[in-house]
Amino acid sequence: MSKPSELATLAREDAARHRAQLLELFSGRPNCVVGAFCLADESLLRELTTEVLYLNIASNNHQAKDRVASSPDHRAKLKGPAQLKDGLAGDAAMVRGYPNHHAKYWLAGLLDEETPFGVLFSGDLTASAMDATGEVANSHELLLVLEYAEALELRSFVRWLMMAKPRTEVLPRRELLLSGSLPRLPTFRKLVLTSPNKTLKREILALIASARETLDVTTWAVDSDNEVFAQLKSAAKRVRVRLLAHEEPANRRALEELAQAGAEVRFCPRMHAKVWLADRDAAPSALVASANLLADGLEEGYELGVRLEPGDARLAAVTSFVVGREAAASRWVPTAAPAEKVVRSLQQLDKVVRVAPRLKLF
Amino acid sequence: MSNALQISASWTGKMYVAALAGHLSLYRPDSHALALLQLADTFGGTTVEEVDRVLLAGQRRQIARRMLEQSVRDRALFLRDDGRYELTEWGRASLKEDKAAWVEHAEGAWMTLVGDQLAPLFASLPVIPIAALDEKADADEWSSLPSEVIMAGDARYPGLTTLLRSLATGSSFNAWFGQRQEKLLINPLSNPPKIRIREVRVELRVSSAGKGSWQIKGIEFLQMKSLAKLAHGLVGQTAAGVASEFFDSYLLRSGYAPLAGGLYLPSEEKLASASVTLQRRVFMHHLSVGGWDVSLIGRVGASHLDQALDWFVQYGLKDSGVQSMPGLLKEAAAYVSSVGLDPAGLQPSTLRGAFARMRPAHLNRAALSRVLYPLYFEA
Repeated sequence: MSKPSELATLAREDAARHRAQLLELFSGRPNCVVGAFCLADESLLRELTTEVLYLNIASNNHQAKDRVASSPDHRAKLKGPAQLKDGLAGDAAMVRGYPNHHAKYWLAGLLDEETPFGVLFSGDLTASAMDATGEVANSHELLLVLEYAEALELRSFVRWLMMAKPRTEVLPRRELLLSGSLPRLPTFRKLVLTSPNKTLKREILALIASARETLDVTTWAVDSDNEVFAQLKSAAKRVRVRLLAHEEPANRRALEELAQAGAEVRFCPRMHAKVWLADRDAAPSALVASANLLADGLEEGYELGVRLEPGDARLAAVTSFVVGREAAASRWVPTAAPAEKVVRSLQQLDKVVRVAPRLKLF
Repeated sequence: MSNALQISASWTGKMYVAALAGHLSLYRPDSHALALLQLADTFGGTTVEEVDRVLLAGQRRQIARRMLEQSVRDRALFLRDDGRYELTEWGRASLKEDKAAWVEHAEGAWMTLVGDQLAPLFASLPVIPIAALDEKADADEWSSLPSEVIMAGDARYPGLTTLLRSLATGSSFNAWFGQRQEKLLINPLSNPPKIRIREVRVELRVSSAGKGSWQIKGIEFLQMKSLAKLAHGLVGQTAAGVASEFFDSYLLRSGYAPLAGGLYLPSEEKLASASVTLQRRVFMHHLSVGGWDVSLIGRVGASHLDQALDWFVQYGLKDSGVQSMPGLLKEAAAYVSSVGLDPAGLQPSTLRGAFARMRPAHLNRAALSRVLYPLYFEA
């Protein structure tokens, strides 16, 4: 079993730190864009003293039947267009909805003449991600400050995305289906994406293949119906694979499959960061992204990540994040199903029967 | 086009209405009263019998008597001791010079709108119109005024003082009836006249029509709706050469230099002052003068494109949602035209430059973000 109190403390400390960090990093900047999947808590965006603010969220995050389950904040009431219109979009930000927008980013310096500054923050705009003062249990999130070249690419991505017609304009309300041709996609050397070039999946597969000794993965959700999962399962046979996942019934079947393949699985309640960390004890490299270990995020939708090559100073923080949670979370050994127990008993009995003559018991 | 303003002023305040019982006569040509004076002139005076025989075919003796008595009240005739009615000097002058005579219009309770409270604006219009109105509503609103005291001079009612003194000497007034202005004579039923008075709220709109000349664009009586007819008479009237204390001296002291053609040039300080609000194409300034709340509204002219765009960004923008670049340029071009410039040179880059210099303080962050969207993503 995991140790929830220690994990909860870690999450709470990080939530407070992340909130203060984001406020400090982005307040007072002229042109900012925040990207997230959903919004439940406007308070941080309202506190920002930035002059111009755009918020990009998923236009379809309220249509999911399991929207509560899909949010790290089980108590969160995600804000739909009506609430946004009366709230944030009325006075604090221009809000646009894009189909399957799951990328999480904070960008300042939107214009070419400005110096870009960017952060990948795994949290959504929810109390669980950024409010350590309330009753809501905090999620485990990772904040990564981008280097200049990465921030430049983030700006290119955001500008490319926002030049496209949005699906939803919150104020005034418009329903605009994506049509016509998108602007030409810039070339990215640092950032990896799902839509439209699927470099995120390619880089994750490459990272899995590059692992020599260990591979650590953190995720909110996982399913077994995707290529990355298959490769991860396969990798578990040759390197030590450790997986920290949110404790969610929907994850169990895939996690069990991984465990049976030899991976060490740990449940970490409200683990929401998505980290792929190879060879953490030798020559670590990593990929920090927004996509879960799901076909949905790896094959389609707006997802964003960055590859941290060996020697990158930020790898220490990423490793610390993973190791800290891993130490606090107990390993999960799946309990065999009753039918499997019967099979195993029969197998054992068969083994005894077949071995017995050699033991000359009879 | 410079920053010269064509100022429209909206005034809200109170004016008083005076009422007295009396006869009201109008000065009319081609009337039976004029024929009466001609008869008196021809026969060196006239009698009831002569008027009845000559003018009324001998069948209307009572009417003839009333006509003569009315002319006496109107001071066109006087009754000699021998019973003949003879022309007064005024009646003789009316006949010879104006070819007009006073004709009885009505009798009863008369209400007079006196413009004392307009004195700061229209010094030459102490008495504006006089009309016969049957205003019996709001009886509690009326109070009595001792006419002797008013006639002796009361600083609160200079116009009414002038009116009462004119009544005493039989002088006439110019008054508006609908759209026409006529000479009018009031004969109070009692001496001294019994005066009753009340206040009504008035909203007056005027526009500068030249140096020291202001034209009434509209007037609305917020009480006593029956006075609405007077509004028709006043609209379009020009008060010329008046109110120098306010329109020249006051505006000059306040930073508005009068120009030809009814334009005023606000000082740079005035344009930049916090008390002045430029909203879209108008220059607004609020002040209080003579007990009136006054809003000055003027059309603004920009001297160059950058200035026009700065104003557009600061004051002209609306939060109309996310726009396209053509939409934003169209809105900016309309504003530039409205401040007197040709928008032909307007480009996304010039508009973007204006946003680099200025910020629309009246828009919140969400609205500003929406307005900037086409400039950021389409320019």
